[in-house]
Amino acid sequence: MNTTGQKEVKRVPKQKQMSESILRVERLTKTYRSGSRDLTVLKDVTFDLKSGETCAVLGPSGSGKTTLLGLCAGLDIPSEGRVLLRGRDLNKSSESERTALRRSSVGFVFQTFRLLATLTALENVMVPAELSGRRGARTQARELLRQVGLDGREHHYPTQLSGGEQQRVGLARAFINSPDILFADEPTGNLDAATGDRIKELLFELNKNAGTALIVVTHDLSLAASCARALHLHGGRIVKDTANSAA
Amino acid sequence: MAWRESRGSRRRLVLFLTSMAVGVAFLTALTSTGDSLERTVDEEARQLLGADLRVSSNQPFTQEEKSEIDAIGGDKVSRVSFLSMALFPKQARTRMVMVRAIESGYPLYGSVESDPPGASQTYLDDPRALVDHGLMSGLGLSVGDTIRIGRNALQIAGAIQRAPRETPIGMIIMPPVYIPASALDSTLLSRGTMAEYDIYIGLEAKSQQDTAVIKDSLEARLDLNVDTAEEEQEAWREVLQFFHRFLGLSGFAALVLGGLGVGGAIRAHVERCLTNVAVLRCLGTGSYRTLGVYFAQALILGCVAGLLGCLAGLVIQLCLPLVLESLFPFSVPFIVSWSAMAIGFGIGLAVTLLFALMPLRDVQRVSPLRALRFVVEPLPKTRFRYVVMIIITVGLAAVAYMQSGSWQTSLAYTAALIAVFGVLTLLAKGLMLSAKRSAAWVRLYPLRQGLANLHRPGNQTALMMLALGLGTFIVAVLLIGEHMVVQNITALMGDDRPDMVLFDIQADQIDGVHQILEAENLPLIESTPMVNMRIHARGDSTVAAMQEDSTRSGLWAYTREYRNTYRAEITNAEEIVEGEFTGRYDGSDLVPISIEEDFARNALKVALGDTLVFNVQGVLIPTTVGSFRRVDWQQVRANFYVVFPTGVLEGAPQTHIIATRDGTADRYEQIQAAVVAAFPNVTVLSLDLLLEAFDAVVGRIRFVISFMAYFCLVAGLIVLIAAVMISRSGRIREQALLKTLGASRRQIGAITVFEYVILGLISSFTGLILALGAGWLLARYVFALDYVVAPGPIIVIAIVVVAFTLGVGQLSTWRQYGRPTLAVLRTDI
Repeated sequence: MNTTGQKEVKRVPKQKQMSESILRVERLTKTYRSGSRDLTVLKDVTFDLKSGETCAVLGPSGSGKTTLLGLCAGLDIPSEGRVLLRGRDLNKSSESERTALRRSSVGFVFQTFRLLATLTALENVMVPAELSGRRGARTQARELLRQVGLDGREHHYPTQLSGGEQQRVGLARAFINSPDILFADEPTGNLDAATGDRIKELLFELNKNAGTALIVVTHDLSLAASCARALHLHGGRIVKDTANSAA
Repeated sequence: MAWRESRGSRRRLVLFLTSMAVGVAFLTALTSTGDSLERTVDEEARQLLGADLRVSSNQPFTQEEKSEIDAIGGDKVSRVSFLSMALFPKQARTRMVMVRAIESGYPLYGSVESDPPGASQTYLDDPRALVDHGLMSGLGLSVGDTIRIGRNALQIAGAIQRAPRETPIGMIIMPPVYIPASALDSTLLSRGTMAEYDIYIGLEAKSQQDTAVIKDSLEARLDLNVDTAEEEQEAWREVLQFFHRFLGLSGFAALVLGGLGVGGAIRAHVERCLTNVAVLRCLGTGSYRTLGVYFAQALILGCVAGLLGCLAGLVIQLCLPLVLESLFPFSVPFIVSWSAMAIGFGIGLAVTLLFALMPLRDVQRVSPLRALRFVVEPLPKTRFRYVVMIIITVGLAAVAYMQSGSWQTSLAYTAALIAVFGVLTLLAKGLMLSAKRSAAWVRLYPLRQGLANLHRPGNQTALMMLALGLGTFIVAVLLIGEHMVVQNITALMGDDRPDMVLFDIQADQIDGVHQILEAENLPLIESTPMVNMRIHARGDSTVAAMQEDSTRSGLWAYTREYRNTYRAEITNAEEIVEGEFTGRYDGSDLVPISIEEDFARNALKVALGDTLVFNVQGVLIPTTVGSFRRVDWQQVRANFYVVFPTGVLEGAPQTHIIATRDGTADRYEQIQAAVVAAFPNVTVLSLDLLLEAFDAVVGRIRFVISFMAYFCLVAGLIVLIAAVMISRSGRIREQALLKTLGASRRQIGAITVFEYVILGLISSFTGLILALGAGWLLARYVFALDYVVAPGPIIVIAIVVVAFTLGVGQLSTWRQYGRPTLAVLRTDI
């Protein structure tokens, strides 16, 4: 029973099958109006991501990586093409339907952490679960904070945490709703190498345990190497789609 | 560089700048208008009194007095004023009015302004009457209608618009009616009637020193009250000074609020630019040079605020006469005061720089390392902020001094403001802290997030609370004060208390008046005799001897005329606090009298057993102070300083006061008409009528106070809007993040609603607590009234403040939900 009054999104069993497509991107194009001219940042991008699959998106600055991530998560609408997230065409979904889909199926990790400065670490982790109206959010958040090594720091505010600690809170928050797919935008971009490595380990560890599909935008080649697949973007197009057998 | 650096922040800064300009505008307008008024009072001193000298007495002048006054020379004109009932036959209405029986030539200086204008020139010759314009419109009177005062009926020649010594407020309480002295019904001025006899003297060629000498000489020899034009001028100067100080406080509050706003804006601007500052430092710019860039920005802000304020001040100055002319008996001319403009500009600049000190200090302390590191510890608080606080306090006191010209007033201003702002800030912070602590127990997420958002970095919550709290405080104090005064007066009309008083009843009229009251089924609650007398001596020392002793002062209690009563027992408005009350004189040497305790101790300075000799119409009556009474002056009844026992004054010439109760007030005019028809000299006073007049007076004063209060409110409103706008980007980014994490429109809306409702509640609660405290202080120490608070207006204020806060908050993020969040998230905080 839906007690939050929000649009219920039918959840799939968490026993995910690798063969099931969680994200399908078809001929995606995004054009922005810049002054008097049009600027195409993504052009004719098509790819498919299976449940539990991990995928890095690589490319130089301005190649359209973050735009692609935003379109896949339904944060914006493409100019052409379509995105099917868990089989739902985001173009045909309303703003609130896309939000409800994100609430139930999507997790986010940001380069600049994006924690709510007014909430403690524990409360930050609880936010997605509370937005879903789920019970037991506090217990689950504590457990996730323990998993990322922040037990004992639950009641610290973001300004009282280091960059690495803030990103760990971000990771815990991303996984609290057991999302089907996780979007990570340069999760180690603002961290030193050692901290970045630790975050990378945690990211893949949590991802593996949850069986979540992962799309990670990064410049970090070692992080990309940890993914099973890598999409190389250049000038808004996928120029290479490689599989990584070592991952 | 300062100009280039401000790019992107100018729109936000302009909003705050407006709040400062409002304060400057108000002060400039006030100072300019004050200058204009003072100039008017200086130029029109003689017109304000209508003469150079006014000699007054509460009984007709004796032949000796007239001879002495005639000896002064110059032009003279007489006027007699007394309260009386006026009957308007056509309208079948009666009203208590202040009758002024005037001789031709009044006023000697200035003029009576009437409508139609010619009426004031001809009414004395025709003879006809001039009636107060408010009474004319209130009763629907027209020129040509009849007014009957006593036995004489006169046609109304016109309405009195303005006249010397007639204040707009006084005209509301006791509407004046000018009639020719020749048309006065002499029976109205029978012995004992309370009247004021004036002789106005014009001494065209005499100097101020001459009039002062004449005043001293007359007062010493004749025991008369003498006023000079200079005294009248000085009295008005004091009134203007009071207004200037009172209004200045409102303007000063608006200015400080503006200063806080500008300080907040500069702080937010500086915080936003700290990384730029660090980059400049990395590029080799010295800390003082960097400071100079931002100081120059603050300087430009202050100059613009000062200039805008001066220009807006001119507009306000045009509006101020509309407000002030309802209180003053003279016109308020529009004169541009360049000194006031210069002061306003200087104050705007000075206050801006004062409040910019703290954030500017941060600019100097920024480490270049900030340019290299993403996560930077906030700048630690240093003791410098205390230094800045002291500088701001001293600066504000200096600004207040520039306004008031008195260190005492300026320190009082500053202390009052610091107290109000300090208490508001402390209360707001305390409540915020409680809200933060209680958030952990809140299960409802949007409410918890709303509570937490009060502490959002850069949210300007304290500033918003200060602006809202101050607005609430000002409005609530006005409402609480007004309600308290009205309630106290209404309480006087308690179930069994008199609500109608008939006075100036001659001894032979008492039975007739009783019969009228009986016919109307009105109870005779109290019938009190009143005997006019003066003090002849205290012990062996006569009052005349005391007056000759130049070392003695404060003899007014011995030289005034008394209207005393006699009775066998004390009333329920009295209580004997010392000695023993004697109700019946036993024929011993001295008559034991009872005196009101404050008057006895502070004015007469007598003790129990002291001897006072009273002169009752030429008969000397030696008395001894037998008891002191405490009197509840607020009760509507005849209360007296001195009460004689029965068996002494029964044979003396006397008038009577009768108190009765109608209870409904419906029959007031009917009773009044019946009494006036039978006994034209008897005056009937209704408490309802007094309340009506009081309402009208309060309305005028409220209008003036509200006008000033609205400036504080406008300044507070602008600060609030600016504070909301300055934290808008942070709120939008937060909403975008929540939306990305899956928050629905309803959830984000609920968070915003909770945030602003809590903000509004805490602010209004803070303002109301302070207002309730101030109301209590006003009741206890200023008005000496019972402290009565009506919950209705308080609740309405709280609702309005919360609704308003919510409205401003919602407008700031209106339609943000529907916009794509990607762009917002790509921008670094």
